[in-house]
Amino acid sequence: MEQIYDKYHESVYRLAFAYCKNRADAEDITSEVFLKRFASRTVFENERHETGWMMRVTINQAKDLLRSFRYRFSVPLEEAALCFETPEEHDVYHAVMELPVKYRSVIHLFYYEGYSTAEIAEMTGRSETAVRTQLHRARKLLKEALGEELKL
Amino acid sequence: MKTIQQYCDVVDRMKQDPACKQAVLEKARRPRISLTKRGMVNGSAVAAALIALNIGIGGHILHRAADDSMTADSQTIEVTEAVQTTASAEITAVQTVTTAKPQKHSGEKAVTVTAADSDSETRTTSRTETAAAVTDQTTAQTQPKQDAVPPAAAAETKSDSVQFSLIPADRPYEVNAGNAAAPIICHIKPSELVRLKLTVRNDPGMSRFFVCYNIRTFDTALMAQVAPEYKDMISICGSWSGELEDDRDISFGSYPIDGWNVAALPDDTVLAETVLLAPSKPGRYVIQDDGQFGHSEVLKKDSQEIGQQSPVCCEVSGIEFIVDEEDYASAADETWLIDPERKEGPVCCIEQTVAHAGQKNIQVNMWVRGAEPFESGWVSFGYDPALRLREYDAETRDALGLSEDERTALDVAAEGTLLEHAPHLVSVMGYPGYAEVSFDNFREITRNGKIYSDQDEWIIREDGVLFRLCFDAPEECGRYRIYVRDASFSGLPDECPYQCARNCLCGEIIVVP
Repeated sequence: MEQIYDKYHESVYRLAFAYCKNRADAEDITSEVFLKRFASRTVFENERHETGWMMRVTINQAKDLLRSFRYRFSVPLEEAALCFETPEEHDVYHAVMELPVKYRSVIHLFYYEGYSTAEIAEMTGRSETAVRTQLHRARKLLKEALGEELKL
Repeated sequence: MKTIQQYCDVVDRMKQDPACKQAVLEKARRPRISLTKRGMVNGSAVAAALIALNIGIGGHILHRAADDSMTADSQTIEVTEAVQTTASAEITAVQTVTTAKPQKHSGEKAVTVTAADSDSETRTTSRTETAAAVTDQTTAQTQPKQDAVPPAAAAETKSDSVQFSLIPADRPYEVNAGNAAAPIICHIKPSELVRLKLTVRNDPGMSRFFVCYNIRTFDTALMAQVAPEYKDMISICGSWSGELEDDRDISFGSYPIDGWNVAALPDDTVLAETVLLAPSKPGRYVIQDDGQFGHSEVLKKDSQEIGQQSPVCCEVSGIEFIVDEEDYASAADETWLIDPERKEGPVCCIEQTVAHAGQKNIQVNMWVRGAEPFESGWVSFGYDPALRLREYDAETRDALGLSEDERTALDVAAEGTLLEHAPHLVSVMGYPGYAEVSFDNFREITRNGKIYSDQDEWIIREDGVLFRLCFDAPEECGRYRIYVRDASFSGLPDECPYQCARNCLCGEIIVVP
């Protein structure tokens, strides 16, 4: 169990944070995901299969949270959980976190985790075309927020 | 220099509290209590269970797995839910939910569809102080027609609970006695637009509220707006804005940050309105409290001190619609303006046309007028799923990777005078009943972004047909709506900002014999 935790906890926690924007809930989601993982009898064919499973469960868990009352109307970003080294980092990070959740989750999975649009589609239960469209819109919104100087 | 890598760098530095690891591993080694019910758990289920037990809540905690189903035969099961438990061990709501057997409408010839039917879970929930209010639902009948009778009063509910109701704003309705979940019933025509008001009764002096209706059985919600008196105090979430999610719900809630600093509201105060598109097929359809994800709740001010508030019981009444048959051959020639009072921003219009049953390749123009010059944008539109959008293929309809031949095929599905010389159409995608068209001023997509065209001769500066949609008509006569759900246009940064089209004229194809 410990090996599994060590292997995936950072990805799970960071993805959860991208959804809920605060440390306490991201940790709750992370805990819940790993409890599900340890309770699961799923036989994983390979590492990619397991990683996809972890990401998908994280997304589902985060979506459940976002459906709750609190998150529908108030989503403060917990700055204390973050460390910025330059003003540019601050601006870019905030611009991403200001995106609607469906866009920022795609940005996180595509740029940070490095998944392909097909893999993101599989994780999020959307068609690949939908993911690509959302990625396109997310980039556009980022450019609008940060100006054309943003390099993607 | 700003780059997306900077986002990744910040994320890389993010560290989880090391104590979490030990806590998770310890929990994993213990026998687990599950409170999961249809995905409603937030936070740690184990913590929720322990907290719920520690504070001595009466009733029973149901241990159910996520895919357990509650059948219609479970008539009055008391469920205590620990909802929204967070790591800070704060229970925001503990509710007693009474699960009741749904009312059966005997003798119906029309197809009966309820919200619960769609996910094979025939369950109707209503939140009340006691179970008595909803346990006797087996003798429900439709009362004589009454106009403008508050539904809560019509259902003779004597509870002191805060009561939220959806009532038709522009048509008569009848009392659906005995059905606490949907105490009023209303006749409408297929594909008709229905305007509903959200009203409140028995307001005890709310400090916060949130109500959520499941509209899964309806095609979509087209529009929702807050009553002018409560502008900036109420937020509305819903599926009218082109979401691709399966969840069809619409929720109304006060902004918790600003608070709900309003004196107790008089009975039948209208808080908001919404416009829904009725299904195209005759039958019975219910819009009711979303017991699955909604967590409808109200908090009451207990004192004048800031932060003093407590949960109070609320009843969220829905509405049942009977979609009647219609003689389409004599259908009136009409269009319907979604939001006629708004005059700002561009207007999107979809033409109305008449076709014969089974006719192929019916062209319907989508106009845009009154827009500032724009170079990119997207339009999402909904259409009756009985219509077939020509050349539509949900899996491959993304133009980003299409060959020239495929692009030509795409243009058959969406072409127009404004875009006829523009090779910048990005995509047409969606699913039956919903599609999005997006276009942009760029020449090439690369792995890391896109390369924009430096020519601006095709920037759209005039009114005209933006897309020409081609449909195949079904074999059944009927009125099949096509409508813009959301549209936005962007101009050059120094010429015109982002524009959002909220003024839309619905179109339709009237299929006659």
